[in-house]
Amino acid sequence: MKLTELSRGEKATIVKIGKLGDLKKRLTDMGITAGEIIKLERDAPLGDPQQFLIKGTGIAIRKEDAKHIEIKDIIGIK
Amino acid sequence: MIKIAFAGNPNVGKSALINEIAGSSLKVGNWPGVTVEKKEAQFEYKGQQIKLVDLPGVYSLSPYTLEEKITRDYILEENPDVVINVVDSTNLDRNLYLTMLLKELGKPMIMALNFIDEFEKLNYKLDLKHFEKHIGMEAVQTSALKNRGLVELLEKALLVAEKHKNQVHSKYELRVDKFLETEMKKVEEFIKNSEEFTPVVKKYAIDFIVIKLLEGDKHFLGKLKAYGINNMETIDESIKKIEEKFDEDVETIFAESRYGAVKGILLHTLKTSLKSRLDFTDKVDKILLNRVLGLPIFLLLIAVLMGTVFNGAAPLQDWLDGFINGFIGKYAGFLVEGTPDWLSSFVLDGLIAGVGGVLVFVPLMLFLYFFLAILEESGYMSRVAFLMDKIMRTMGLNGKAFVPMVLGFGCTVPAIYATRTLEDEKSRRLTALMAPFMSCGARLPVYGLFTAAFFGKSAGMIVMSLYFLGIFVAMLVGLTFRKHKYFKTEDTALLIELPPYRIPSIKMITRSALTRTGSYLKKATTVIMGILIILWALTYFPNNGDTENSYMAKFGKTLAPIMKPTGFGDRWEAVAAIVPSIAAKEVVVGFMAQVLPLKDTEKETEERTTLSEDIVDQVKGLGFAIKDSFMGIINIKAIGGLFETPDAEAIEEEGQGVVRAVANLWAGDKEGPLKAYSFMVFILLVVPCIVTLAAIKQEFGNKFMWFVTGFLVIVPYVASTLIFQIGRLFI
Repeated sequence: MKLTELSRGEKATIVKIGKLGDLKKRLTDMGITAGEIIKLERDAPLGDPQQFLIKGTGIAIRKEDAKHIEIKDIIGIK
Repeated sequence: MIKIAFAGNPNVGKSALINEIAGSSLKVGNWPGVTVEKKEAQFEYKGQQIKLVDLPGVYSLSPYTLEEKITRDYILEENPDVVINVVDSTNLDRNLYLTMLLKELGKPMIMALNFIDEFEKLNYKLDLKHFEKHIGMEAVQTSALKNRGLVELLEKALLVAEKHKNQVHSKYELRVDKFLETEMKKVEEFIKNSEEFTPVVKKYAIDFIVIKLLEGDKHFLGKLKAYGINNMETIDESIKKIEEKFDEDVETIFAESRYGAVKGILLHTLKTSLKSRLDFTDKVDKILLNRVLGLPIFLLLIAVLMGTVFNGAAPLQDWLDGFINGFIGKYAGFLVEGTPDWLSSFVLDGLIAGVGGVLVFVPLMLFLYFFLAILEESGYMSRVAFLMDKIMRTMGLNGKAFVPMVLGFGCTVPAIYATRTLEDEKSRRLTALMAPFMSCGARLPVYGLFTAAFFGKSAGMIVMSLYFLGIFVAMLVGLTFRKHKYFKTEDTALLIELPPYRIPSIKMITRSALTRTGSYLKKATTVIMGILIILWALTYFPNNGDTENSYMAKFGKTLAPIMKPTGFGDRWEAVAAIVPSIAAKEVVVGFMAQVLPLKDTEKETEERTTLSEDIVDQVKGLGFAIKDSFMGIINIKAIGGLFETPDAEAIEEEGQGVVRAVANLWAGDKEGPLKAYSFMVFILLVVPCIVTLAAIKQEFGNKFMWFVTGFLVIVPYVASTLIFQIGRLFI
């Protein structure tokens, strides 16, 4: 599954970051690594980018980049 | 001298910490060759000279961003005596990743556990003793806001520097997977046995060399070339083995090892509570980033920002203008009485007016930097990028570029300085190229004069069309240049942290505004003064003050034929007005009044006042200005006034009969209004003013300033010509 498939408030585990060139390293440096839990906080009012929560930090990522991040085990909100 | 470098992630309060420690000795400049801000301080502490350097906030030390390169190169090449790693104690599991990377560099280090007041409020507990042992350095609990631990931090840092005086590199071992470790050992053996590597091993820590070689770090490999090292078969072999085994690139594997090490350290030393540091931020974001409310609130905030900056500064600017040209000018006039005409004109119209031209911007700069610092330090600036990203992306920029653009409607100069909030140099350039097309406040009097003379009742519509034309041209420029290699940012992704909201300290914000304004004064003065004096000379000579026969007028007459296609080129007065307009756009009105035959008006007789009366007047005036400035800040309704064109009456006051005189430029010419419009378009798009150019030079260097100058001459020429030539088809 892709990170963009997450709905607002849902959490999932990161599996792998795909082919993103230098951006991959930057995502890794910001804490987006395999095994981490990531949560979608909200979409920007114009629909893009999206705000995620990872390692206790809010991070904005564009959808075109988020779709290269693979996730699994989506947990919904109750 | 002891050199202390501060390194840490963005938003960890690093600058506030330095501000508190260094106090007024803090200086703001740029890192050589780039526009990344560099903060430094030098002072004496207990008989020792100490130099503090604030390295750019980074998440990593990879060679991908300018900030990271600067930080890494400084630590590796400039050999600071000790590195203070500032971390946000409320977010250790992410902050310590950089700590791991810094440790690989092998320099003496100490940690500042910052925001310790928030840490305690969250009821988090850290076993400091064991934490220090595992992380391999001393850690001091600090809070700039509560003034905690600052002296201790400085003293411990000095002790660490002293202790490591003679030691080149400290040993550091990243605990990694067994397989990875074997390969690392292999590489280490290879390096130690290779003669080529001897000088490299002397300069850099061995762990650092091994890790960077395996990661295939481009920046580091480039440096090795300088040592003549190219053959690295052994290393390539190891890389291949590792990547095969883990099915992942080496960089990522090392990154994961570092995160793993951090997790291990924190597992046994840190106890968090159920509270999160983001509780407050979440609540605020629910409103400020709300799907429906987010954008309206943002636009309202921008309107308030514009209002406070421009309306707050205007009364003080007016007062300064009056003080310099009226008060100082008057008494300087007495001093130069009896000297030759050219000398007194030089002192009054050249020198003093020049000083005035620079100083008048000081209140504006102060207000701008003050409010920009609030936006930045509070954490809202990142939200601006988040909110506006989708729109600005179409022009190859990220959302933050929106702020300079909007400021451009008030004044281009602060817009140029506001590009500093963009991280990427190329985006900054593109923004600076687009911002001058936002019609600034100083152009309004020109529009006022020409619309009053040619358009009567439809003046408002005409002015509005000019604003939109400016925006349109800016977008066109953005779309055209975003792919050019000089502007195209490699950093196409928006990947930013939305940091927790924090209430910025007034002291720090004030200091930041003061130092940045100080650097404007120091750097811009020479350029602006120089050009203003040249412009003065051009309008004064050769006939001693007879503007109509000055070099400027001659220049206008010579250039008029070239300007013919634009329509307004048939009147040399209009052409000549463009050159002094780069001193400041509003000068066009005065210039027109000087060169056009006006109806005779009685010269006002000045009242005689004494020096003491004048001083009282000036002080009173300052009082009123401060009051008006305050009122301007709190009166949100006054924002609309920024876009109000002065009416004909107000313009008449400037130079009596000037509106009629301008109307006479093309009286009876059925193309007259079109020519006037073409002139206004030219004024809209041409080089805004020399202060803007000085700002561009300061921020981007000489070459780019000349490029912008040329660009802002060609674009208006083409636009005015197109408008006139197409427009006349319909007349």
